[in-house]
Amino acid sequence: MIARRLSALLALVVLTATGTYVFVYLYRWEWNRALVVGLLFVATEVGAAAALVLARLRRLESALASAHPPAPYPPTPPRPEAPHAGPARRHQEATAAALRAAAPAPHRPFAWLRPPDDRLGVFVPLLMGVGIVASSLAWVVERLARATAGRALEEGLARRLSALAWPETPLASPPDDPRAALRGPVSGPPRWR
Amino acid sequence: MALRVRRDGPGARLLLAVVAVAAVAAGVDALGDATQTRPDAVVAGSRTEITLAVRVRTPALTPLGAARALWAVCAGEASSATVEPGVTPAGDHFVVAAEPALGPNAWRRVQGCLEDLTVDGVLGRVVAVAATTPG
Repeated sequence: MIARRLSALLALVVLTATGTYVFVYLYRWEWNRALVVGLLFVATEVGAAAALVLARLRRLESALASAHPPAPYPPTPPRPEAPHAGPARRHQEATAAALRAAAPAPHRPFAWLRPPDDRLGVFVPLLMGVGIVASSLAWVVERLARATAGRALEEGLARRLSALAWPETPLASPPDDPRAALRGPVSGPPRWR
Repeated sequence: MALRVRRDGPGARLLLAVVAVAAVAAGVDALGDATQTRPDAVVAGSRTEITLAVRVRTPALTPLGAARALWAVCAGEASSATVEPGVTPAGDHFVVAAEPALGPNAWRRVQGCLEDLTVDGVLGRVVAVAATTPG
């Protein structure tokens, strides 16, 4: 009892100190220390709450035990031998045999996972065979596409890229005098098209 | 005529509840004020000089390197610029200056950062702080 009270007193002191220092460290702008102290506060709080709940459970257990004391065991009667069993014993055995006979079949959880007893497991070989056939088909398609699609794709690409080709005629007409731009601003109508 | 309130009457309970709510509200408001920060007034030409001591528990850092790392992290808490050449050794301690001078809120942030476990294996301690104002 003294140890329990000392623990409760210690928990109260720790809760008070850590709870206070959370705000002290926050005021001092020391966030790491505030986090650590806050963690200690929460840990102590969880421990104290667990101790309170356990103490309450202990009290409930003791109250239940005092309200319903366990009944004393009856003296065990001597077991009669089978050949000389009385009618009560024979009736009990007959009842047990009838219960065993009427028991339902044992439940088999996840029965679909168990290997069947009378069939061979063909799922995995079938899956492997399908995979081999699919891979072979994919290989054939890939070879066929490599042999036939390259030329058509290149022609289509060349057709689309032809829009970016240089024009056959120049964008600007050549100047009459190539040194005219060096002498000053270009006058006259623009030559850009 | 004196107003009499019975100690165990509903008036006393209401008064007690009002006082408790007011005390809690005042406490929360005071805590909020104490743990918040605000911008400080800027005094042009002023300067704050901080003398710092560091304890290093990692072989990866020298004391000077630890002080510089600590200031590099904590300088962001101040709205002032570090005066060149930054952190310099001064005997067993290290000195760094910032301009303009740190106000009370910024100083609280900077001191808390310096003395908190901001950098792994490095514990700083403010030895002295001096603020100078122009004129």
